[in-house]
Amino acid sequence: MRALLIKEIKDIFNNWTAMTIVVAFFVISGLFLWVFPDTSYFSFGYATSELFFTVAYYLMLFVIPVLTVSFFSGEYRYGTFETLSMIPQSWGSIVTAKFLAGMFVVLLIILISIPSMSVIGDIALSGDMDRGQIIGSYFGLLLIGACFVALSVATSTFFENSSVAFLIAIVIGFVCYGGLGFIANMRIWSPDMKYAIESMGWEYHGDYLSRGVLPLRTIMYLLLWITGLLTLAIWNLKRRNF
Amino acid sequence: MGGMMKYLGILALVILGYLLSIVYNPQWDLTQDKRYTISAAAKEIVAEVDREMMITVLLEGNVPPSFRNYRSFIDYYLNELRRANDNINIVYKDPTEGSPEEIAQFKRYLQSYGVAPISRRVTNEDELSQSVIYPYISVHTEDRVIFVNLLDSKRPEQTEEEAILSSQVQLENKLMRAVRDLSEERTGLVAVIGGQNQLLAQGLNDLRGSVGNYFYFPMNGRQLMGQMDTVDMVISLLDRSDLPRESMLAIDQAIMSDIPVAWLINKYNVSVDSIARYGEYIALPMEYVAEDMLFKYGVRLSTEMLMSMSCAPIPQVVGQEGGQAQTMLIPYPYHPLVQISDEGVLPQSSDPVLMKYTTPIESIDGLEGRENTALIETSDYTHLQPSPVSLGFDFLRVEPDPADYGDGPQVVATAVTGLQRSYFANRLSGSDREMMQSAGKQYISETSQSRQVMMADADFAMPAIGADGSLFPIGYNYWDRQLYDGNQKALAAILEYLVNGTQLNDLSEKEISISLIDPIAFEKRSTWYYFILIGLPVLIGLLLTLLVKVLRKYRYASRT
Repeated sequence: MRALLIKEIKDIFNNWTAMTIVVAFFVISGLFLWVFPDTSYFSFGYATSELFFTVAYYLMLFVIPVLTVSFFSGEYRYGTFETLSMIPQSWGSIVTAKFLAGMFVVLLIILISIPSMSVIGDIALSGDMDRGQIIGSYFGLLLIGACFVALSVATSTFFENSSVAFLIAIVIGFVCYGGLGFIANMRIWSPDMKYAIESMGWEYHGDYLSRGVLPLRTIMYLLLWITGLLTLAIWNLKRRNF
Repeated sequence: MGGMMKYLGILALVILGYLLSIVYNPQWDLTQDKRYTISAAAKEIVAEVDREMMITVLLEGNVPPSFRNYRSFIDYYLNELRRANDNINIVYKDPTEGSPEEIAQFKRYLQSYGVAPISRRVTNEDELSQSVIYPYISVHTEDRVIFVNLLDSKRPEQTEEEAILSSQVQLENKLMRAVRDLSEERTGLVAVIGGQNQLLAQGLNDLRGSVGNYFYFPMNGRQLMGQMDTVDMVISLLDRSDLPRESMLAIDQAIMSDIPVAWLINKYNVSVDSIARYGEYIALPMEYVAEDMLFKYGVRLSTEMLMSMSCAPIPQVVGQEGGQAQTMLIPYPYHPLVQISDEGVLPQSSDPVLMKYTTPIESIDGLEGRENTALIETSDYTHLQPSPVSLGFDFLRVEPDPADYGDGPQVVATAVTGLQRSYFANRLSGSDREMMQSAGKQYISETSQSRQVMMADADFAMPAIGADGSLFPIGYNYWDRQLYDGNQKALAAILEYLVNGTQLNDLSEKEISISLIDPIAFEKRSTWYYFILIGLPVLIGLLLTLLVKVLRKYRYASRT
């Protein structure tokens, strides 16, 4: 599985696309957070990491599928799926390797973002910012990032065409992340129903995490999505291989 | 097959973990100030809500950016309440949304509760516009509603963000007060007795629930004696006239019956007007018979008048221009701005309380089992002026010297709790007995659970009267035209403490340590910061990709 993981990571970084996307992530988030007046830290006014993570979650919705959605659809398209199916590894190991390669991208984003946190701390009037909150928020970014990677991996097992897989991953990702919140805000629901729909969305749980609050229910809920999506991916690969 | 089984096993474990988390749901708040953790007192109050309660957030629509953090905190906090008790439902309503008729109708409804919008400038796609928002939450049950103002008034030295942050600190307290008041079956009854009790009762009733869920009723001694069983608290005023003996007896027996009593006392009856009228005014302290009673209960009012460097201003003529008098607001040490003491009985608040011509309160050691606790104190720079006090405005021409204010903080409000013996022990007259008999009351000579608060200023709670006879809200200072929120808050906290102890007051001890952004600091090193924020990721990206390319090339080159 280690060899598979290294191969996947190399594949991601073998061309300029991956780094261009990662760089685009930071350029876009930088523009939103520090340049555009409506969404910038200057109009927000508070030296907390919440704003960065809120923007980061939405950007991940696009960035992760771009980099990872061809994990299996690429194999189908280039005819290497049969080769993959013959290697002495279980589908579980293959899916795990691809999932971890995707998580490597998330980790890279996290690492590159650390200096920007020091800027927020630097310009805080108190001269410091809440480290506990930042640690909690990064844990949240890791979990929400893992959800997007798992979704991308699962979607890519269903489609040979990477573009279609990409679009589907984004649509499902949007519904799972923020879409349920939008649906919940429609005026047709009773307060109980609104709460039930809203709390199914990843954004609802991501909001907790980006504040530095880690409820076990949120962690387990997101882990449920991750393992569920990866199990779905394995099931689909086995079904295809028959 | 093994991979699938392994994943199914993990999935089963995660499902089990998730189900367990629904039942137990532990939560870790990693923030330094634990600002996202509902306090134990709040959980207790929420757990007692046993009927449907709707919380409506009116802070909706085009919310200015400076409110977004607070707005998101409100969302979070209300969700937590919802999770803690599903009798609580949360709805969001934008009062500026709907047909013009609907908007106007809702606006009238809000106005009837004193809920008024505020407007702020917002930029939308480079266009400046005015955003009208209602920073309120309404908490309602089937038959009652309480509006909670989410925004404390901004002090002159505060930025908007700082004012919002200090409002955020108070949110839990305000909201829990509303939830608790609505959970109670009945509205409490407070007897206001003595002095200008009609005016005070009207001022308190006008606040419509923001100073506790009480109905304030002006009473005399006989009425209080007759309604002793239904009264939850007594406010006793010593502000212009003494208390008649029957009022003193009724208050004494209220204390002996464990009914909390708040005393508001003006030792000096002076006003800026009276000084302005005479140029110079010799103020003599009032001598109330009821002070003897207070002495018995454990406090003595000093006759020395307080001057503080932390004070509210009054307008003074500083010159003439074009035949017109030029006025300026000058700090006036006889109107001290005092603070809640850090004894932990009342919630700490950054809002100062405005008092006028006040005196220190001294505690008297006497009974074992009786405890005196300081509630409100003056600033470190306080001066005590002996009686009789010569009052004028001439001294305002000279810059105050801190060295003249060296008497240290003075207590101006104190709580006296525990064992208390009746002032009327061995001195009940025939008419006293007759009054008690006609009210069907038995004389009580002692209690071990008394609770009283003595404040050395009655004006701090008195509404100012406008030129047209209308009342300004409590805390409004006619002289600088500012509303001192601290007065209402201190009054609410004192009444809360008297009736319910420190349960709600404990909520306000939470400190929020969110820092504000310093745009000037960013501006000073903006190039460097932009490099870190945008340039550095680009550079790292370039270097990593180049590194991968070089390594790849090197590896293939070494193979050939």
